[in-house]
Amino acid sequence: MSELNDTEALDKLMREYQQGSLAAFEALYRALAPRLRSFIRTRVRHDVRTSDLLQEAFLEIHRSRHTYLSDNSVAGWAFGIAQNVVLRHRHVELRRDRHEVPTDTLELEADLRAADFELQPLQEALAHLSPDSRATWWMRNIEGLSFDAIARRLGIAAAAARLRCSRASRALRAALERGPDNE
Amino acid sequence: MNEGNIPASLLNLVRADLEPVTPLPAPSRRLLALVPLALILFFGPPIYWGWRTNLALLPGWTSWGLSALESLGGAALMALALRQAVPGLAVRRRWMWLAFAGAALLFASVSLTTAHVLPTPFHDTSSWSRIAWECVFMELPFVLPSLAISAWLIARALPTRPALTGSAYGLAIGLMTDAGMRLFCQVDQPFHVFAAHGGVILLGAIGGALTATLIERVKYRRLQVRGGLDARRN
Repeated sequence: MSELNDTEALDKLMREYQQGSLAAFEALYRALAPRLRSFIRTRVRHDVRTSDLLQEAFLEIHRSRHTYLSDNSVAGWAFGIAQNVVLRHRHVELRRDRHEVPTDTLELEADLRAADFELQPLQEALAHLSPDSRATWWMRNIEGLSFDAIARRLGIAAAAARLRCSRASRALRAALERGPDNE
Repeated sequence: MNEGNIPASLLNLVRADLEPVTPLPAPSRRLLALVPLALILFFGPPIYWGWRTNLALLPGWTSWGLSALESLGGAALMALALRQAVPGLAVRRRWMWLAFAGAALLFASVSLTTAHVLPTPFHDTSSWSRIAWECVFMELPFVLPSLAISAWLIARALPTRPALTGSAYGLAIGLMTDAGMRLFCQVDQPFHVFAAHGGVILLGAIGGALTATLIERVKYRRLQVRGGLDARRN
């Protein structure tokens, strides 16, 4: 299907959906969900949260279906709503982070030891990082926290958290490329 | 996850509430619907409180012309806010800030030009605060109901950045009200105009931002309750 036809088809589906067609909603879901999932995933970097937010985005799409203006891009409208959902999620996270007691890095160490993941090489590579770097990398990539939230937890600047995480990722990549035999 | 499979909970929620909806009119049509409000804000203050006594001393372009310009500036900002409130049509944040700066510049230019054309110094400096408060209180009956209308507009749409959109509505209403107020208030001394009239515009922007944020928070809370999102997250 060409892009133009795709746009027209989505517009037609959206109008049917506004008229109360469940089949149109299902077709729209199939057409938009992969793109919205990818859009949300790149912003929250967390699979479970991505699924939650995708569902929330479709709920918001349903509640706000009257805000779609005919002959405009359905995808643009849906991305606008997804962006809205992601921003609200960030605000909620930010407020939650502000009220949380800062987590000690030792606590994260315990989490790491307790985590029963089968990625043995990654676990070994992580073990070679310093505790601070490991904690930063963990909070960013496993817990999906923002750099601001990590910085608040560790009592460092956001730029320092970003730098520490970037260095940890580089060290991990290098360790994984070398493999366990070459260490 | 197979994206073709719609989660059952979502499908049930959609199925339970699938009544036909009336699409929102385009921002341009919604703006046209607000023309009566703009006219009330333009003519309301001078008709209700009385025309400024020195109106005849001001050249037409300074009184009517600059008021019309200020009102049009407010309408342009309102158009931007209406667009900003619709998903997918929102403009970049920097354009919004630029529009805010333009609105401030317009207000300052109109006020300073009028003060330059017809200076009205305070002879009795002890009364300036009383006069300022009078202007604020006389402007509020026009600003507050207008803010309620803008809150309703926000509640109907879905602004991505509610605070920014709400402050644009508030600023627009403030400018449009000031366009009428300057046909009532005969004091053009910059300090009075910036403190009292500018203060009300600022209050409108802050009020708009707070109202929009609150409305969106309530809407979000309702969405979470409806979707059982809290239960899934906790």
